[in-house]
Amino acid sequence: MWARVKILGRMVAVAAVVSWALTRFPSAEEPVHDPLRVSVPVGASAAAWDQAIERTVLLAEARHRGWVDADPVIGRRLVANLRFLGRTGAEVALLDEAKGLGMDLTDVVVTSRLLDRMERWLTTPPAPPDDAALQATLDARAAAFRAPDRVRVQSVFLSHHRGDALDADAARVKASLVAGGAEPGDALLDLKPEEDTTPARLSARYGDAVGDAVRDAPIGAWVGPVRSPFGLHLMRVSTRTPGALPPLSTVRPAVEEQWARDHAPAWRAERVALLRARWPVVVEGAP
Amino acid sequence: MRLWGLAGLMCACAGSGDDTGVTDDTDRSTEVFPRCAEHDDLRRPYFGDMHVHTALSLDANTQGTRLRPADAYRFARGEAVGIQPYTSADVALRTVQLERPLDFTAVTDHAEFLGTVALCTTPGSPAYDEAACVQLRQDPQAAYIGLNAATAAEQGRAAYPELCGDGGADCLAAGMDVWGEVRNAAEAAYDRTDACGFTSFVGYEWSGGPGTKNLHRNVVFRTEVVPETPTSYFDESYPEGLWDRLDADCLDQATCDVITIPHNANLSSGLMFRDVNDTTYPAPDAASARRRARMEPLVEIFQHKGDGECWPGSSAADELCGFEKVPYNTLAGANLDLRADPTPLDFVRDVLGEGLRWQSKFGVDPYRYGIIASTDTHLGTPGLTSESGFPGHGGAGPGARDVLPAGLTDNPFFNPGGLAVLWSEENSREGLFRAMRRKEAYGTSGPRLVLRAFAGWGYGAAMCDASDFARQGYDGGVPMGADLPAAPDGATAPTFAISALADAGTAAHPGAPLQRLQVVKGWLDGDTPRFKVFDVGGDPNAGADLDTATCSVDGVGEPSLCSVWTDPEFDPTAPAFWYVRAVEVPTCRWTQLQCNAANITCPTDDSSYAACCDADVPKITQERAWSSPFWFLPSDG
Repeated sequence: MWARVKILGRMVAVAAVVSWALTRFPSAEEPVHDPLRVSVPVGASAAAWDQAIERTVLLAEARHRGWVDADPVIGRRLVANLRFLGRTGAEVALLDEAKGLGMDLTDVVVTSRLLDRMERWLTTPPAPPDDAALQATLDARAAAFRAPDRVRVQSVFLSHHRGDALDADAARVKASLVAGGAEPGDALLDLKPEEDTTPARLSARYGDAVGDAVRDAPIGAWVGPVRSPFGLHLMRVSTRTPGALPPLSTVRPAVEEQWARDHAPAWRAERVALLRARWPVVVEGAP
Repeated sequence: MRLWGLAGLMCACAGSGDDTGVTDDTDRSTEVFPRCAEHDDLRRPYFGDMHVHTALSLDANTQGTRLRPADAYRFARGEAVGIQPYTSADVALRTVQLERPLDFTAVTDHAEFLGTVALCTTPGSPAYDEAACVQLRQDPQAAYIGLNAATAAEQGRAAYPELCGDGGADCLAAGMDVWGEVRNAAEAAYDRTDACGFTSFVGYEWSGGPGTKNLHRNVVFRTEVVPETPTSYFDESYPEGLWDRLDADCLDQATCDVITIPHNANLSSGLMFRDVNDTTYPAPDAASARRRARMEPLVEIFQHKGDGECWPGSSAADELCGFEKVPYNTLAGANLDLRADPTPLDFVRDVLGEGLRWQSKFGVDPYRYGIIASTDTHLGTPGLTSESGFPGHGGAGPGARDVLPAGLTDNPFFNPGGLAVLWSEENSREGLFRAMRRKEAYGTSGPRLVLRAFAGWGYGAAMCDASDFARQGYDGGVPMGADLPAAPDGATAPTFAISALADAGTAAHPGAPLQRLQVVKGWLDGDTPRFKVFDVGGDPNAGADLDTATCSVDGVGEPSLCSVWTDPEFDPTAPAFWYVRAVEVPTCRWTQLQCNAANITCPTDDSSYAACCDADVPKITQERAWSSPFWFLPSDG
């Protein structure tokens, strides 16, 4: 149990270290390191070359940042590797020996962990977004965040139960409506004589044709008859309210998520480019 | 001893027909209500999915699902997403998109493995190089079976897997982060503007299954106020323990509210619901019944792994009861194709009848369930219920982690799942949660059928032609999910006003018409529940001659059906319930659509399409909707 407590405690400490490290990003002013050797199979594609170089650079940077020393899980793994090989001695000495052997750059678990942390580091926001940045995202993604247009629409419905008379009835009723007459029409579940709604919701309830007709209808004119599975619809839009872009305060969590998703590829590309500028490589073809 | 009289007295206090004491404590909400531009006091139907797994669930993860909660919500809102398998360059080989976005969704990943998945898939975590985690990554199917055994442990012996460390500390620690992701994704997806375009709920699944007998419950919170950690089977191995935790961690707090929703009782082998005379833990009594009724207003009647409405061997004549039954009675059976017969109490209809027995014995009905349906998707794709283009849902079905399997895309006995529909004033957490509490809800087997029903003592036949059907319904009685009001003097039998619209569908995929409306009645005859199915509208022969070679359904059925029906066999001395079934005309099942697309002729040598020629696999389906019940209790003994 104590071991678990110690490990958890160390993890908390490491998390703090990593968290701090995540806030530091490479800069062009930092010195250039000694060249790294990258082994690439003969005949490998350009993409494979690039992937191998990037992997080597990222591992070198992770090691340079001290993540191998700071991460107790990596330490435990490397020490366990040497103990498996029969080495004895203090953990610190064994860890140094493992690093000296380059195990931190070859062990699958250790490299996977380092690369995973590096990926998080590469795509972590450099700073919390300010309101201006979020507003810019909101504006750029206005189509996704804008509320749908709302319409106030009157409906007169004629049921399919009218049978063969349906089309003629619809023509007669529309003429009456256009002339200013009042026509009750037939009942249809939850269709209101007049309601405030969206074209999309009408589409969902009564079919695409009904919603589309309302979306494009001129204000104040009766449109239709529009056929749905239930019968014919005559509709008049009295007002159409364009959907507004909501204030940032009401959609902040969604905008933050979108902001991070939008910028992560650029952050990553920029940081990888900086790292590759600071880590020259010598590429060797594998035998 | 009969307790109807006592129940009637309690009813006046609690607003319920029995002694459950269930009320909707709206003070618990942190939400403003009303707040939406589209607000209708007469309520509208909102369509959603309350049962969704993502890559955070072990079984989904091992099948190659990569969509996370935020992705699932994006899909529910109408965005296209890629699903497995993926190329080596991480390009999804399949893309799916809803033709019509959902109104609401709850992502409900398995609580048991929220931390485990994170540990096993995060390089360098304390358990990353444990044998079980290595196996999870290298042989997911075998690992799933091994790890899943933990949730199949007998109650009282359930424990975190070894890789979770002492007391499950490592998994709990990892789970905290993941639970944060679940909460953040729900918050980001929730439309807090007055457009109210989409509602998310924070949730998880408690996945107890002793002996793989399913006891699973989805846990759904009213608002963003939730406990710090979810409660898993490893924390509490009995539903009662789960409810204790939810009481302590949520309901005892001023602004937290929660419900639990049982599902897949059809795979519980008789364990999900208890016979009133079952004396195993916990002993049946009024307190346990009251607790259950308080925590569980709804039951999921239908989903990917089958229909749970009615027992195929029931004595009630019901030619539509064979719908989407799976030939398994446990989770292991569903995973490993081990076929076995269910028991009557695995099905909602029998459970509702058993509830009447509890009411008779203890004065409380623990099974006073409203009804919803959902998908139980394990691809992170809520609401993907179309028979056409069904990519499978993972979970107990075959995965597509590395390659797209040849042939049918899922276990042929499974189906694309259903939807939950809530009658709410508006599309907000507060509106929808209130609908769940009062059970003004129904489930569909996938299509967007609109089903509205009221019960009272004096509705007239003209109501079907009235433009104010809903107003008359509320004024003259109660909506689905409620107890019949006291009968006025001279009333001899309850009347039900029922109206349904077929799914209008889309231009690309028109919906199917309706075949008929039915009322399913249950009542207590002495100590024995009885059931009867009444056809109350439509034509039971409409579409009966569907040609499975073409699957065309043109020219049959009705786009809408309405009926005002009075129970001709009403007994004012017998407690009873009624629920409504709206049924579409026969259409081709997803399996048949895929068999046709592959030009399979029977017999076939293609083993991946063997189910096309298996007489046990239905070629047609009859999609449907089930209303929440109405209940009646005699006013005296």
